Amino acid sequence: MDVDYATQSKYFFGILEVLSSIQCKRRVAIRILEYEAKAMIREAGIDVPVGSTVTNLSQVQEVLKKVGMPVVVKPQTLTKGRGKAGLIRFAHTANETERTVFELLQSDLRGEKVRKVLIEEKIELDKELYAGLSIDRTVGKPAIIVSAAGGVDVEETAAKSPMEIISTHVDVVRGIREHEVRRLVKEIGLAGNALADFAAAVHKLYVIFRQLDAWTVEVNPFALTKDRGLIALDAVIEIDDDALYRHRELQHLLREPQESTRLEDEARKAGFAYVEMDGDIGVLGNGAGLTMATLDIVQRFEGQPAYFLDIGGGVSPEEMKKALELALMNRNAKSILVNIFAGINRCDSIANGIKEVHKRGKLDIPLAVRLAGTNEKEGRAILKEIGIDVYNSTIDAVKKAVSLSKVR
Amino acid sequence: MAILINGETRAIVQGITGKHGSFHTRLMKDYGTKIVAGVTPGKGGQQVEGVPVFDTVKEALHERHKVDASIVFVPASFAKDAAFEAIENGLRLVVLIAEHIPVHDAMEIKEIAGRYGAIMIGPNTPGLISPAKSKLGIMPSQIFREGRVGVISRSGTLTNEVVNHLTMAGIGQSTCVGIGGDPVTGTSFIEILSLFENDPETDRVVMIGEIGGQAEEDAALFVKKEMSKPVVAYVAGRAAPLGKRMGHAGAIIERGMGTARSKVKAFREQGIPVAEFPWEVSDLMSRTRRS
Repeated sequence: MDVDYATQSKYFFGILEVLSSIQCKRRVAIRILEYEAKAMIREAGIDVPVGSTVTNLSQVQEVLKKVGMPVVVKPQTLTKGRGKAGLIRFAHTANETERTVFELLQSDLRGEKVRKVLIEEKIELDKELYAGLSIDRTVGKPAIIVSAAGGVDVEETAAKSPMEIISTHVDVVRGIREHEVRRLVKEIGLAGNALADFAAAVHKLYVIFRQLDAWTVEVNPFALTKDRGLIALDAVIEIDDDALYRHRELQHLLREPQESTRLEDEARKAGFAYVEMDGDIGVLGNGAGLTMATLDIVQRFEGQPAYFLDIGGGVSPEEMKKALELALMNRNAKSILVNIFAGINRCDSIANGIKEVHKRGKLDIPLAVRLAGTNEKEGRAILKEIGIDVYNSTIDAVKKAVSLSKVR
Repeated sequence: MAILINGETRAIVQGITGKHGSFHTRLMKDYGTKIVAGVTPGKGGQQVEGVPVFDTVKEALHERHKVDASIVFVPASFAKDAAFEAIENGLRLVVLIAEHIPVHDAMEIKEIAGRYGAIMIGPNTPGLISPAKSKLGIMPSQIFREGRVGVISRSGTLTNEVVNHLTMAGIGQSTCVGIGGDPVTGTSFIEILSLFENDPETDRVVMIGEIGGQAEEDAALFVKKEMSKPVVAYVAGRAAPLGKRMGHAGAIIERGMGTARSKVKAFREQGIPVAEFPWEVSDLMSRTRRS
């Protein structure tokens, strides 16, 4: 069989796309903290600075005994942009370290409170390199990206001087050999030990990327040192939420994603995609596409969505009940628009879920319901029983929801 | 003819004994799809909706000759192996319905499909339908009507919405293909566009896009360069809040790439009319007919 491995791609837009490494609807990448990512790559045989995390001042002296001076002090946040926010600091004495740790523990990065700080030895380096693994969704393959311009924002490098970045796609079934990675990193101008060391390290990152079901594994920068070879100064690992079921070792890493509200978290745990907005009409639909189109249509009829709630497919009455209860917890909504075009869903299941909530007397925000598709008739009949009108078209349901929101 | 499936297509259902598998086997059979066998490991010998069930794809192919396609209903965690089984037994079309298939699995299936020359539709797809001929999917069949417009979409429920309007406006469809809503899918807009371009039973094409990724922008270029047939586009998500994550698309939206606006712009720059709302697609379609 003809194996087409490692096709070169240096297209600028391709790279930007890869760098954004991105997921779409209902996809959540679990990002882990720097020190956790470093522990993982160290286990794979990549050198990282000596260091330890602290959560309060009393732990600093103990860590410094191990780490020595000078040190780098880094807040452990999931939010990106610590460097630009001036939150990565250096300290030369124990007092300075304590003061810095104290300051960082009081700070936050765009609303994410700093709870943990990593204290590491400061590494003397000759050169900084970049290595990243990601998924290029345009071709559906992993991409390896390397650059001799490490330590800076690689997306900026990609935009300003794309020639400094080399990338290649990998046949995910075959994998990539170390010698192929050597050929790749030679292109960024490495020679001697650095060439072999960097290739070996990048190959290890690829292995980690595959083993962890990662969306992204990135080391920026790798420090090239005189006497200790390559050391990973920072590490980012994002893991595919959908693959967590087969990584028991990672379950402890499951945590609330940043930038989400309490209700958004609850929805995520229940398996729904939920995003809060500023308006007063709740929008609950099946499928991200239809739900997003519904938002557009609500705005077209001069309504403002309060949230986007995508219940997904194959929803049972219990799940629908849960989704509606969740929707009802958002008290900004003056009406709730339920827009269902059932394929793998069944309108009767949706209607039964609504009926359950109604039976418990909890339906205290008016609904405008549109049901179409699989078992539409059955669904309509169930809602008719409890006095809820069902619309045939999205437009009619939207108009109703908008008028309901203006009444109260 | 239509594309990918027609009245002659003979298909198996993997995961036929499950809740969704059996329910949709009935609906597909009712629609006229030739479902010739089912496969569920350990359930060989049973019957579901009158369809014989086998333990393995190999046995199914041995007992029921000339099978073209498989529709896979097995849950996400078993989907990779089921897809490999179909592809490696020589099936040329594999439809993966499940959502939440790990992205590394999707990449592996895509790679294997490529090696075997198989077409992989999905994951996270409603499947495909050639109205009045055959359906390999979970879409509500009553809204589709036979005709000469090809439909490609990343979103299942949005397809229903648009097709419903097309049908009500008297515009029938040759084939409707859901390529799947996941970041990594077996086929791209471009591959399906080129099938429609070469299909004598398709005159015009509707593309239903979504925010996130680059697929629509790439497809717009392809349409301009390679397509002689008129294409109309629709993109949902204009009201999606900037800087917020719709699922995870926000990460791209923040960069100004993959927004509804950038996709609409890409289409318009290539001379492709873009509908603002689902019901406008049929109006735009009627106009392309005249030109």
